[in-house]
Amino acid sequence: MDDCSLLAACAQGDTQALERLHARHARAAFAFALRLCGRAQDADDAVAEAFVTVWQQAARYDRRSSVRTWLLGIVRHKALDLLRRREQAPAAADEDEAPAVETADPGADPFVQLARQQQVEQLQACLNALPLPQREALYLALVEGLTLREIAAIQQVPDNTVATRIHHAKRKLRDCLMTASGLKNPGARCDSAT
Amino acid sequence: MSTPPTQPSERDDPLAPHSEAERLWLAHSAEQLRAQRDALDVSANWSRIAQRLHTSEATGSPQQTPQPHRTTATGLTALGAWLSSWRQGLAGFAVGAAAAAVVIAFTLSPALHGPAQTGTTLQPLGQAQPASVETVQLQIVFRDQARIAEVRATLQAASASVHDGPSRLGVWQVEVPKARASAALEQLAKSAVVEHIARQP
Repeated sequence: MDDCSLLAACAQGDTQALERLHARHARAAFAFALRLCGRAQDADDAVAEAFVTVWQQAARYDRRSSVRTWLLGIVRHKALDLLRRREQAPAAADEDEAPAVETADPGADPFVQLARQQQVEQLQACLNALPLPQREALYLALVEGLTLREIAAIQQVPDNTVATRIHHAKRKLRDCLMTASGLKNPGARCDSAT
Repeated sequence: MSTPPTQPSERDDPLAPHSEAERLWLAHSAEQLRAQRDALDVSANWSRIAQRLHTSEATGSPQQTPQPHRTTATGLTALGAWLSSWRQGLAGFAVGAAAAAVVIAFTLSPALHGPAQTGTTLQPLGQAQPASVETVQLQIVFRDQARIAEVRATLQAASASVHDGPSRLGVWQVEVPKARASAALEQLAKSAVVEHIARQP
């Protein structure tokens, strides 16, 4: 059964359909929520609350996006609610960026070195250091493979804004990872942290 | 100074790599992030959701908004953080079980229901039809794994009520208002809990 059919079954009161949807999408939802909340327990809570909302609102799904995109929008809403309750307001995206940082060894391809050396802990730390809107947009594009339009629908901003966020996020992530991996001189001129 | 794209369209991809090395780095990073999905205990997470749904069903409204998992009051945030999820889940289950006991007691109490319909062996699960409404009878077989709450919700949504059944073969006789017989038949046929439906010959 495809996701749309499962969701339709949920709207009819079929809890087994919800369980099947959960089995398919809970992990992806969790990983996304973790990027937003920063804590595994909060991400777990956000996923549980999101699927309860899926159950309650299954009949309202209008097929304008994929079921996963719709679900990730709900997860986002729950994760941000949790963040607000923890009194951690999402950092505003800094759309006016400082100039890019120069690498220590302009002759070497930094991506080759990063692909070899970067550790997942460094990646997580650098991702978490991004402003939340940029982090969110980059994650949805990179890991979930969503289009600009789909991400724009989730973040409720124009496509242009999403593209800008992803552009800056990718560059900041690269620079942060290079510093963390020792591939760049940390004394070089840096972008702002927010 | 890097210039952000000014008019990106659906085809413009800000993630598009400018080199093979960058493509490999992005793919490697995505893979590292996807591995974090395995940190979720899917079964435990589903158990929490199922408890919330059970609590909603026990109070008679599958679509009822569940109780908030954590308090939103700033002053109680620390208390909410202290309460672990399993304690709240356990409390929720206890409330749900108590509510279910109350619902069952009311359902089985004959003093709270009108006279049983002639030939009816079960309390009606769906919507009782007023005596003045002309009805059409349908024969319906529910799937083996269908739950009572799902059957109730399905029948109510179609304005149907149980007239008789189930037979030894699992066939129920349900009634729907004649004016919406076709719509009800179509609606019930599409239901995930209905295995077979037809007008009674």
